Amino acid sequence: MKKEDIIANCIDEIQAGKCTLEDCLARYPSLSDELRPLLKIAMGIQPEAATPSPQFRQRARIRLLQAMQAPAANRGRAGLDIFGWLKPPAPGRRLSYALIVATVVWALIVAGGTTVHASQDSLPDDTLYPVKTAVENLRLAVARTPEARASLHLELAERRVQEVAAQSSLGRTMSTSALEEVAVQTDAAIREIGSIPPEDSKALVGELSKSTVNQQVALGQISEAAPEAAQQALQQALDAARRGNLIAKVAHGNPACLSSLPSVSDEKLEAAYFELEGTLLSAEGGTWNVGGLLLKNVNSPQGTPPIGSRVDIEGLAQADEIFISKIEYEEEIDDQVRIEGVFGGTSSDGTVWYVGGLSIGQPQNIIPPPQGKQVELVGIIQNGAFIVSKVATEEAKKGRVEISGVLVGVNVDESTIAVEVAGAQVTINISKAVIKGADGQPLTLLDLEPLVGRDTKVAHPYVKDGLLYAKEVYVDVEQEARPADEERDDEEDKDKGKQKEEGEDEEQEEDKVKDKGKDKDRGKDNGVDEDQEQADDEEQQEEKDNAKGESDDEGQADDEEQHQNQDKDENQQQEQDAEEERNTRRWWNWWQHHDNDEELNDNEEDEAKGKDKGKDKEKGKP
Amino acid sequence: MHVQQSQDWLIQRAVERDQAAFATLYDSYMDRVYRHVYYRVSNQIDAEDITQEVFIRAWKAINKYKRTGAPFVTWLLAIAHNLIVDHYRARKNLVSLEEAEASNQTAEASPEAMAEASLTKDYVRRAVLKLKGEKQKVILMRFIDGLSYGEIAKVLNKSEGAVRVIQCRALNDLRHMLMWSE
Repeated sequence: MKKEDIIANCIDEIQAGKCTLEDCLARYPSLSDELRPLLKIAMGIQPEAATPSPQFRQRARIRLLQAMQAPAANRGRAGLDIFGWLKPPAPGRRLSYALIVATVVWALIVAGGTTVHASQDSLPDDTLYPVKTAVENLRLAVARTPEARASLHLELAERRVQEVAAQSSLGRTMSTSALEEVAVQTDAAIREIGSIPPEDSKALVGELSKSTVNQQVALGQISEAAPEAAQQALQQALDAARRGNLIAKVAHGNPACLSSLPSVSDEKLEAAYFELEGTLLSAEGGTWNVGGLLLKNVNSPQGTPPIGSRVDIEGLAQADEIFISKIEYEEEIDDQVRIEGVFGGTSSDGTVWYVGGLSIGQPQNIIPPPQGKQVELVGIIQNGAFIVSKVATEEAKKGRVEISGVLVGVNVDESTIAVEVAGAQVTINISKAVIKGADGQPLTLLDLEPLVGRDTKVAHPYVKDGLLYAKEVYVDVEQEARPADEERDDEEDKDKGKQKEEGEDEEQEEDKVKDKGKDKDRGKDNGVDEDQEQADDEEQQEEKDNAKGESDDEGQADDEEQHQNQDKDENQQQEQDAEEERNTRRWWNWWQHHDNDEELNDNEEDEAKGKDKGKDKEKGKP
Repeated sequence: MHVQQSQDWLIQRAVERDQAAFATLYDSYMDRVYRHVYYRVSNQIDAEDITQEVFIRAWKAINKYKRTGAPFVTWLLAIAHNLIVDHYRARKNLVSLEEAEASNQTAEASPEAMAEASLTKDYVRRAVLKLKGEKQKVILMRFIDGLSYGEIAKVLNKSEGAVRVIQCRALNDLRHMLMWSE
């Protein structure tokens, strides 16, 4: 062995603690004298024990954030070169900058008393608009606390939306730089909120939530009447607003997620949001095993639920951490795992699927769904592989305006509901809305009173006369959970319930020890049939509701011209949805006819029982 | 089956100017960069300033980052190296490290006392910083940055055997510098 190799090996072994310097020298007695000083020197070369101070870490991180934000801020102010140099400064120079800007604005006020005041109503591309943004920058410069700056950034984001709305209503070309500025300001607000201790950021997260809801509603309305040329910029702003609300939702449950620097401009953000349900098998060192699915670097402010409990969690897989934003658990044993999120594709060798930012072993019995689809997979994990028993897909939320939250109040007299969205309370008039339960059954305003506390989605919100209205409301409640005196006659549902009970009885009669595995499979099969029928029922009911909703809309259309446009757009949207549905069916058909003979046989039996339903059974859920 | 947002994935996203991904890389590598810089400047304030600047420059240039097979941290350390060179260049009017070094070495002392003193970590550090070219790089990468011979070989575009030879020569140089004798 060469001398340099001997030295390298000795150094490696001594560093690894496998031997001492003397042991090494004893191995090579002829080289001992030569090796000794070299190895001693090598052992003397050690890094300093110094580590960066926490203060430095925080300072450096903020400085880095500012450096990363700088190009985006500049881009957002393109076209405002006259006052381009009046940009918000780095914190260390904030005061001197404030003095400069104050002097300039003071000079403007003196030179033309009403100039600054008049500029406040100016719109992008107006002569006085740069004065308006200069004043805004002055306000940012003198805002001394991150709380004040965060609020101001959110105010400016909404102001940009209002400006674009004003341009739209005046028939002027919409400013794309103002639309881009919405995302820039929202991101700046998120960064400021992230710099506040989590315990102090709740109120601001609520502000972020409310602001991004307002942004979505306003941008959605502008988009409906906007020309084709403006649609792309509007959709990007709308997507950013929706992501901003998602960030608020996660931060409301877990403020630490803001330290991972989520951005409303991150097109992959929503693909990192997941819902996961399964039994918590272990939780050690930040790694949770949920039904066989390993979650690493879990950040859960609510702590760890009891091992063995069935957990229902929501969170964001951002960078290399899992930020749990919501967690519920109950004492129940169930092998099934349910994961819901955007399908982000597969690894290059196809052995790993990415769903909601989580990595799962390639399901053996289905092919990958179209990328970007919202998917729900239910099954069990065996030997690392996901054996899927139920799958459902939905078009991703891109371009859609939807408010998701918890129903916290119902005012029957005023036909309004209050929905809490990540700490912000939003009041919505639903007098003209179609209200449905999770099972697609129609509900009335009166039905909602006992449903306070339920998850609620408000679709197609719009503002009229300063009030927020909705066209559709979905409340997460099923038939059996509703008050008995308000249940509707639905023979099919009852039959379905019976069928389910029979299935469960059969399971109980089986030998629970010997045939445990078979029971599970049979249980799944029953579940599949039940889901198929439920999907059929939902579709039929949706058709009825749609017909009803459309006729209602027609009645209102006489005095609401804008809704006619909305209807047209909806028709186009329905056509797109139909195409998506056809694609999903193709995928679903493929799954049904490959690698799953049992499922195939079940389907054939079902078709034999009722050919009329055959068409419906091709829909998303098996 | 696990949640694995690999370093490669993070780096790719950072190259695409994903701020969150870059911030994660910052969290991952800040300590290593700081340790390297501190070893070379031996001053907390300077080490902090340079470390902070390394990441700001890295963010500005991240879209130019090319995978070479060498660890990502070596790219950051290369930026750090340039900044440290600039740092000493800017301070050339002050007492330079080498001048300080020379004054130390001219101190009268017996060979035994010098040998004993040379054993101290700081004295070794000063000697390491006087190594030239690749010898210093290999010693820093191996002992301070904790890279393997294979990783160093990729950075220097040499074989692992060549890296070991350079290491051996560097240790011999250090021995002479430290006037080690037994």
